[in-house]
Amino acid sequence: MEELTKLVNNVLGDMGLLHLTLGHLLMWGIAFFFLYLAVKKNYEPLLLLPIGFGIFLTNLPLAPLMGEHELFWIFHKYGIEWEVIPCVIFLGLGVMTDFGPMLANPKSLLVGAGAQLGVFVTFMGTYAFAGFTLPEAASVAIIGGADGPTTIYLTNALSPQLLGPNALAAYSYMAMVPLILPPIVRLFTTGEERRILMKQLRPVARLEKLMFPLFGTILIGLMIPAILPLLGMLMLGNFMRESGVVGRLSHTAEGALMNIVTIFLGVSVGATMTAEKFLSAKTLFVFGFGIFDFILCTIGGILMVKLLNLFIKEKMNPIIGAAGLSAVPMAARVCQKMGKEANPENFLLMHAMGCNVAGVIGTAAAAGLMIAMFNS
Amino acid sequence: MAEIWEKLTSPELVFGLGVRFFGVFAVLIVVMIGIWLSGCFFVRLEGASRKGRQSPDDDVEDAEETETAGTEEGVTDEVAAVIALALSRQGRVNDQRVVQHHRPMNTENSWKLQGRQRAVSRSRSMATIRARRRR
Repeated sequence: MEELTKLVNNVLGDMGLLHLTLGHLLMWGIAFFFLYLAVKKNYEPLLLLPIGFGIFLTNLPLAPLMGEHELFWIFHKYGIEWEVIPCVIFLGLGVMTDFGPMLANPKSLLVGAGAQLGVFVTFMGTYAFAGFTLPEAASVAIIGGADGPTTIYLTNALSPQLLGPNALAAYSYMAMVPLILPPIVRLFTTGEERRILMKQLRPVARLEKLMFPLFGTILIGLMIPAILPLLGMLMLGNFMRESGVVGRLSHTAEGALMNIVTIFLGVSVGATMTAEKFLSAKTLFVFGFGIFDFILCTIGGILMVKLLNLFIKEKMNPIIGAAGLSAVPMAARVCQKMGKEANPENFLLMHAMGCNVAGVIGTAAAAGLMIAMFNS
Repeated sequence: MAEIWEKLTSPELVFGLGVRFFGVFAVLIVVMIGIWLSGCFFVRLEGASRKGRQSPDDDVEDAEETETAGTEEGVTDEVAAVIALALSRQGRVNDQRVVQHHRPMNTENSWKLQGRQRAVSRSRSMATIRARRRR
């Protein structure tokens, strides 16, 4: 009889049902919310779907997933902790990116730099008001750059405990770019400014496009070596694209490889969000400061265009300043749509794409400077 | 409150962050100058190669052809008027087609529109080059 009781206890003890807590249920709710956003609303489904499912799986009690040498632990350890996945994603992004609009209008780099305003203001805010440590504040601040892989790279380097909330906040807000950007643009620009017509960009020679990844890497790499793993892969991908001689490699990097690492990235990030880690005041602060950061970065880009307009002859439409966020190409599309609404003759897409890719480089530069700040 | 104020006014942190914010500008300004210089070089190179391709007596030939075209014999005023009318009507039909074709493109996909604009401008310039070569 005693043995039978012991056996029943063992069987019951092995069942997850008895270990289910309110925290688990709350995390399921959060997972289902992100799955809903991905499936029903089509918000960044490529990432929110695996992240949502990762959250769900990892919050099933007794799931052998995140323990040492278990499935998600392996994905996380070798993919994210070793910083492989963000760099491979940058390789794919490099193949997909056309630096042409930025090369045709180099001033867009200044817009990309101006859009980093929010990153530095939020850094101060999170450190002073939310009680984050300096490395934690830096990793939260980079969310405003709207660049998922850079956020993950920096967070993993400085404060891995915030990886889940930071990545989730970054991707959620990136998905909401069409909702966040327009009111800010309307608030900070006049109707007349939005109607400014921008002429078509000059065509960029193939050789010029081919030279940029090489010389860009030299220039940035010599100044901020800390960001070379990310930026170097971005430039490698772009060089593959522009060379035109490795079609198979480019095709794989932007297609199959990108898709594979996206699955691992999503699941691994989701898997870090266990109830005990995620359900804390810090997560709320991450989401709160994240949106503040996004708004400030957008404002920074717009104000930078306005500042430039004081000195240049051919005025720029301040709408494209909002594309200084790195959310490629969503931010540029939103700018194009707003520009078209203000002036049907305006075609801002390529100008906005220039600011968009400048924003990617600007965010990477900001991340590199922050890593250097804490490594020195 | 005092702690927050102390953190916000910590000279080391404020100065460090300020330097880094302007550091982003410094890095991107260096890249911008590099791009601008290479852009100037490539634009000049393109201009030089275009001049090289265009032979010096092309303009003289163009002028001569314009003059001879106007004095061609065998085309009566009536025939010229009919041709003009036909061309005008054809042009109008084409315009309508372009307008109809453009409407859904605008709303459908801006990338396609951009590509289409590029393709159209390219095909126009190609047509000009071919016409010159034929002459």
